[in-house]
Amino acid sequence: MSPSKRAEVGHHEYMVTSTPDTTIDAGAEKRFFIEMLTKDIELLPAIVDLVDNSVDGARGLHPDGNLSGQWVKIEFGDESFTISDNSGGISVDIARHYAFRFGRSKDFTGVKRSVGQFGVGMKRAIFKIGQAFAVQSAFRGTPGTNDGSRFDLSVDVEEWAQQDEWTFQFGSVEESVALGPDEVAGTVISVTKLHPSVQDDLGDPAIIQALRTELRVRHQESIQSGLQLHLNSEQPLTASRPSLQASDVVRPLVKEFQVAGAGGGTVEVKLYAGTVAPPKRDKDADPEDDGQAENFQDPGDAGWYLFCNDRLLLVADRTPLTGWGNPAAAYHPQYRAFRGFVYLSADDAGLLPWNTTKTAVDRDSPVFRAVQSEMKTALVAVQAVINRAKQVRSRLEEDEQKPEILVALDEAQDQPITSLSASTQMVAPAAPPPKPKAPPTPKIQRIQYAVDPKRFDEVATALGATSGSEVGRLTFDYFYDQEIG
Amino acid sequence: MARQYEFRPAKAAQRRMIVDACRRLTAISALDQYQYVGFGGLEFIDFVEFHRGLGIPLMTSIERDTNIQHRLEFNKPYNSIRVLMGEARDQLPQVDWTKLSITWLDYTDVLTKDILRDLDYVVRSSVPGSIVLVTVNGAATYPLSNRLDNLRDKLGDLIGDDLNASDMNGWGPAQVERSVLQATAHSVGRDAHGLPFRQLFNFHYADDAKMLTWGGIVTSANLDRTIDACRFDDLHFVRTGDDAFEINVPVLTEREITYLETELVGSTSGALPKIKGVEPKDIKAFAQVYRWRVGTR
Repeated sequence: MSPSKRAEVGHHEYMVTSTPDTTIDAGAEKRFFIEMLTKDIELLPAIVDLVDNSVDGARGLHPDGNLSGQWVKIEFGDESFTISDNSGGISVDIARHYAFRFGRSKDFTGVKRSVGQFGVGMKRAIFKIGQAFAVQSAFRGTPGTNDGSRFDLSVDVEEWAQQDEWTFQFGSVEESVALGPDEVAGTVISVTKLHPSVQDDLGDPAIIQALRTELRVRHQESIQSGLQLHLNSEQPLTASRPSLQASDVVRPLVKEFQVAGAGGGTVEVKLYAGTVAPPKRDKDADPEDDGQAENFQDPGDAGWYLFCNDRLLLVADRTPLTGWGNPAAAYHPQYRAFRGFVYLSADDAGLLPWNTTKTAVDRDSPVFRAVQSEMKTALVAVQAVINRAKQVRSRLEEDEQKPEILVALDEAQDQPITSLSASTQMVAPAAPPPKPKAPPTPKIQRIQYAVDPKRFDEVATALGATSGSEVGRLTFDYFYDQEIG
Repeated sequence: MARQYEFRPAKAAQRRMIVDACRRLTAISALDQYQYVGFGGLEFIDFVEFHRGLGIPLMTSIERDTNIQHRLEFNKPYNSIRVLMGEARDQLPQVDWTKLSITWLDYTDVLTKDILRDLDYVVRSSVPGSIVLVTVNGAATYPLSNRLDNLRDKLGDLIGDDLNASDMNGWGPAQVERSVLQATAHSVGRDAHGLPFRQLFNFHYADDAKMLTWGGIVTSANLDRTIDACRFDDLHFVRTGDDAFEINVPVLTEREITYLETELVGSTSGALPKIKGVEPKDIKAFAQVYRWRVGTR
């Protein structure tokens, strides 16, 4: 073993020296390292990272994209968290040189269109979840040859932090073996000695719900391609399939374009923006009736969803990052039918606008800014349709036949976005102009005066009038005609 | 009956100056490939000018006053004009922005954030080579001491901290509005097209209220050299910075106008002609605008 070992985090690299003349406490160094590694990641992204690794592996096995037969299982309780898959396993060679390295070496080719770019995801996720872990893997290799392998290792992180060495020890290793035909080629990662906060989180139904939503949306394509993804259940998750309202007269905005990445290479972009059908249960209610608390609906899923190589980075975003507030109107419940889906893909994951943890958008990236600009104009366009419909609805009188734009938006069904054809604008029927306003009622001035009854009777007789108001009006008109008109 | 725009001589001259500048877009595309998007009002004067001057057939007018829809349809001078009824913000997305465009957001109000959003949308949506113009009121509220607060009210943090009430004299508010408009278009141009929006117009005029017309061209890395080749700078009223071109159409008689034009064109000395009793500054102003003024000769 060389006297110095390297650790890479992101683009940085530093040396941990253990030559005899230094007195650095490697244990403290490692604890600091683990803390740095895990302080900026939350539990859900950490779990999602592990799932992404498994899904990446499954996709790597099937370049044709058909994932039937592939599964990923997540199981957890108070004591442990386990993720297992049949995604092909990690070969001993990969485990030795890449998978447990901190930072991925440049000669690792990775999986095309994958998310695993920075090589810190798995270790970080494990450290985030608990204090001890075990990894077991079986790798099949080329069928018919004996280049399969098996290994397992288990680590107590606290003990490991005490050691000087930045290495993990295999518990058992078998190389150049052939896996049995029924043996699962895959990986099992179990984390135990869960951090107390992780125990709490994993017992919180709201957090589990968020994880479920995220996995269903994030991996919807893989699930639709046959992957079975289990979250503490025998039943696999169903895909959440992005859909927008579409019909003969309503067409969401659908654009495909390319953005040049820095230093060559292109990012393919697909952008879908439109509305979803109003929920069935309040079909009779006025869907635009927003002002009243009893009609309040959770904005829920409204907003933008942005995927990079099918990894979801923005979920229901309604912030200025995606145009809300500028140049589009800020979010208001009237826009709760808005949905926008943006898919960025690139063979080289490094071209995509995400941060090193792949959990957030890199908002300064020129690629993102180009995409963001398209999202902003798309949002304005969809809001304009919603606004026009709202105006028509607000002046709709009782018994009046519903104008075409309202029929269209109330009746159009949601269609999966993959079935939609290109449209540079959101198309919806024109809004009928409001009826011209009735002329304002003329202003009137009332006069009242008291007169002698006898003289009143005389005037009334002369005018042929029968009431006081008639006398008043006729005498005023007489004066006006004679003297003014 | 005199047509109404003759009562707004500066606005009329400005319109023709802008049309004149747009003729230079031939370096980018045949002019009839452009579309015009404006707020035509009942008279559609700018639509007539842009059609006659550039041959543009495809035009869209946005009108918020829905009570005059029937009159608009009657008054529109060409069948090719599409009238969209409603707020600009809701109607602009119905324009086909994949075509080159000349868009004139001709407001009468003081600049607001809503107007900036419309500008943002138009610059973002327009393809490079498109012209975008905004006209706003020069924010001349009284008393003077309220002007800065008024602007800050409308535009918030877009107004620099270094301004004080004394910057609000005369055209001060219009200058602030110009810088806010350009700053917005600058960033949006960078975001959407990779290069900042190139300002070409910064007109001040006051047929009655002080008005600002600011505008320019959407550029991109591919098109920037071609835009240089349009040589907009050759036009003396083109302004790429914060100094404005003030349009001032002096009140002169037909006889004075005839004389001045005769003398101005072909003058070898470069000295301005003189008429006894007419202010030299009026003659100088006339020399700047006579080619674009609307009148009998």
